[in-house]
Amino acid sequence: MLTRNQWLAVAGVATIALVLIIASLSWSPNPGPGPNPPAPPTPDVVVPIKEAGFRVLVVYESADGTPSQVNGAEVRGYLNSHCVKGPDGKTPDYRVWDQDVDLTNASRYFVEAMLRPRASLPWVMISDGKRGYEGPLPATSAEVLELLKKYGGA
Amino acid sequence: MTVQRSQFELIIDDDNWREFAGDVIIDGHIMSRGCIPRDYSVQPFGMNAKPFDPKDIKLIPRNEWSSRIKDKQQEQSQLSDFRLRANNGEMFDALDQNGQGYCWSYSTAGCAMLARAVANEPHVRFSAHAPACIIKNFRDQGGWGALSLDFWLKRGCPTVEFWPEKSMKPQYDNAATWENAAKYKITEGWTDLTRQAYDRELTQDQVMSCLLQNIPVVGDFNWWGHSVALMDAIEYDTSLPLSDKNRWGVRLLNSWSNRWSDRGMGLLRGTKAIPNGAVALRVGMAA
Repeated sequence: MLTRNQWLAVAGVATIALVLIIASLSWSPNPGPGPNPPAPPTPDVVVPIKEAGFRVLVVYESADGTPSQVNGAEVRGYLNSHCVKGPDGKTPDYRVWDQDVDLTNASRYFVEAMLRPRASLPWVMISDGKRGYEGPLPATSAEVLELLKKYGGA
Repeated sequence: MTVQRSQFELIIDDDNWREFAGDVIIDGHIMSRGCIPRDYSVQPFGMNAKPFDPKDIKLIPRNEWSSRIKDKQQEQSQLSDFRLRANNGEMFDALDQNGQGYCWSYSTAGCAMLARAVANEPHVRFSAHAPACIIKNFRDQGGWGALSLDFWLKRGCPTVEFWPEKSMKPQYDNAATWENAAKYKITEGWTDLTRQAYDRELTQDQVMSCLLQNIPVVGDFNWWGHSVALMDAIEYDTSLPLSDKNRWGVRLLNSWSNRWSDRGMGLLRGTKAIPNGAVALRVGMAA
């Protein structure tokens, strides 16, 4: 016959065992997302020129002169080799425009890009149709080139 | 300092200009010119183009010219550099006005082609005979650069696909031609540079300022009887004072085909580099 203390000890062990059994039955490594999980947050995606293909638009005020940082052979060479061809099938599709340029005959996607708000001049819009950049034109040709390569590749 | 792009590039200055003021013969042909002094009673200063205003075009001080010229040469960002790669990476051919005296229309067309190159608009070849033929009713008569710009404001200029180069045939004066021409109208953006005969220094400053900012200039030269497209600001001799006209000059794009001088480009120096009349193209048209 067990003593009271022995019975208490057996009961305690039994209780612990029971708790462990119940815990093992309820544990699950992956509860699952549920029927309608919340969408994860995504970073802001800027697409200033809404057409597939790498394109660039520089806008400036002619009273300040054409921005010299986009006129050199290196930057122009990069644009010529990396931008898709325009509607004529020959001309690399980038433009360097005064903010008051007449857009009557311009491509629709460039017109739409010109209508986007600009905080300052000169301004640059870079896009491949899925992602891009818009902001102040960097001050040097080296910085412009670096920015272009970020979206257009090496 | 290297000024000439090649050994073939002519330099016309105050010592040798008489050699070039007379007949110039290329491949057995006397090259046409046709520029006459602007008649301000017909086309007053500022009539079709806004007078030069430093608020619209920055006037660059002379003490900055040297460093800016060096930078542009090093970066290959002069208008002549654009001309040399404007046709999908290749040079576009110089226009060829021969044999009508329509230089005053060709200089404007040349400037428009250069401005398009800076903006990276598709390269087109303008038919400068078209505006001149209409203005002069198909007569071979002289004019001045600003005269043709009035036409560009109202009707534009067709490409050679619609009005063949150098054609004097009225059959090309048709609806399709002017529909094409209208695409290239320049509705604003021409600037009339100063014409005061007594202030040639200011004229030189305005012209050089435009060129340093990649703004092509239509330059009319009375000593030459010729109007040409001006492209680059040039520095010849750094030992001379800033105020000395012989320290500076311009590179031009002529309308005598690629066979003149160096691929149609040449240099002017000293007083011969300062035009008697000039208009600048500041804002082109997207097309």
